[in-house]
Amino acid sequence: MDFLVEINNLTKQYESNRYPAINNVSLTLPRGKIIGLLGPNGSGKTTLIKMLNGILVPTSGSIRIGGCNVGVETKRHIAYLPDRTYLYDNQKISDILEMFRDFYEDFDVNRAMEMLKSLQVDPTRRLQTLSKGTKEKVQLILVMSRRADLYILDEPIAGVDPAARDYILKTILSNHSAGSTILISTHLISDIEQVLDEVVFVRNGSILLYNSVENIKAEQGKSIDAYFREVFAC
Amino acid sequence: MLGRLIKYEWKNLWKVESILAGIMAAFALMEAVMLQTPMFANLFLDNKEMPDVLEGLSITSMIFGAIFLALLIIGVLYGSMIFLGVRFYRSMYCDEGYLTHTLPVTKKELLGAKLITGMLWQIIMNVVAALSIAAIFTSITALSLRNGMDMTEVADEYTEIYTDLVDLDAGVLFHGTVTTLLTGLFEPFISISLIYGAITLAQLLKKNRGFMGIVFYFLINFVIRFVLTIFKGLGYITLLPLLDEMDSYSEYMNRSLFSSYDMRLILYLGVAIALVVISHYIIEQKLNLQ
Repeated sequence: MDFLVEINNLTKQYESNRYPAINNVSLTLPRGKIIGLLGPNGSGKTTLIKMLNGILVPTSGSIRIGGCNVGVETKRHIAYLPDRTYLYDNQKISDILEMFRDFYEDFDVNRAMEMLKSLQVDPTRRLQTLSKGTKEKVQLILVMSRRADLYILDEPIAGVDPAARDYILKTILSNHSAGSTILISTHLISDIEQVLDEVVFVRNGSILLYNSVENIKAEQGKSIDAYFREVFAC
Repeated sequence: MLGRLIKYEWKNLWKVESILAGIMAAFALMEAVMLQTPMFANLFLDNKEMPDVLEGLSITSMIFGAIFLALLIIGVLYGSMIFLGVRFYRSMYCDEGYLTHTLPVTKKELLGAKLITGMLWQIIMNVVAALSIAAIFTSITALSLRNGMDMTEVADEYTEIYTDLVDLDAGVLFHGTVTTLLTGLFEPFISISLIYGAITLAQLLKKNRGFMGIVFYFLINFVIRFVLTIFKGLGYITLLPLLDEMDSYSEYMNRSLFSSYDMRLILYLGVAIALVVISHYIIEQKLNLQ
């Protein structure tokens, strides 16, 4: 099988913490799937995502994406939506579009313009004039306008109203490129489980479970949300 | 990709930096023009006929104007450096860093673009500051010419001022000039590297990274100055046996002073280069965005 992501014995130990944030994780993710990275707060989801994106250096172990170690080449093929606003507030949306076009060969500026138009956001506006919610949507549009091999979305629906959740999920599903993999980190499982092909349960920096949604439902006889609540019950 | 990074770095900096440079130039021009008004211009006339009160007022205003301009230039130069430091910190190690560090560029290109753009702005600011001062001197020169002096006399006046300032023999003067030029050449690199290096070093800490970046900046400068003070003292002592061979005591003082200038340049340049190398290592191997 042709794997897109290969993680081997990955560990991240922060010097200030007693226990590792990620503990000897090995995982392979296939192409063309929508995968939920699920776990309670502090389970290590964001740490794992940061290492996949090269903004956190692992203590040990390796990550290969599309056969390459994390670096310039992998960043060309990953579209990353972090759990925060990462754009400079003083910029115009049109400047940011130009920037993405300059740096990412797979960025489709026409697609981005269409999505902005459907949201009725004027590209000549500066980010600082937009509401927090609109900024997040602009950021999502930027990410989903790339024809990437791997989309990594960290908590894309956290802290937004149900209508915005629908918009975000619709945007993700209708805009990711064919054959790409989407890795979505969240703890709001009920909103997202209908779109997932596979799930990874993370607890205390370790992989607790990696299976297809279909298998879990067949084996457990319950929804992913219900199973998650059972597994992670306090 | 380096060119593109520089382009966007420039775009993010030029407005604030241009405003700062504009403020400095505008006040200098205003001061230069004001010197041409009768209130100040009459002060430079040999046959001035001004009441004492008005003359006193004019002199006081001129002195305060000069002090204000000097403080403004210093303030703007520091303001520019602070802005560069804040932008570097935010774009590299705060939320904006999540985009910066996921761009498909090498860490060398990333750091290089920041350093080059920062240095360019430092050079521009220094040039604007120099031009602002030059505008004042040009205005004073124009007043002297209006007062009946010709250009030769004005040039002689400036030469006299310069000679008084640097009462040196040819060898020492050449040494001092070369050191001053080299210092001017490397100063933008040194100051930017020190700021960016201190901010990056603080990223190794767990908490208060922004504040600790400022602490590290002052700490590094303090250590360098402390080491320089020791070297300066050693310089005076080393040259002491040669005092008899020198023409005057002032030559001994000047030689000692320029030796310390050399040491200052070498030490600052060495620390700046080391900080760039360490910063690259931290970004490459120890990056940990919070």
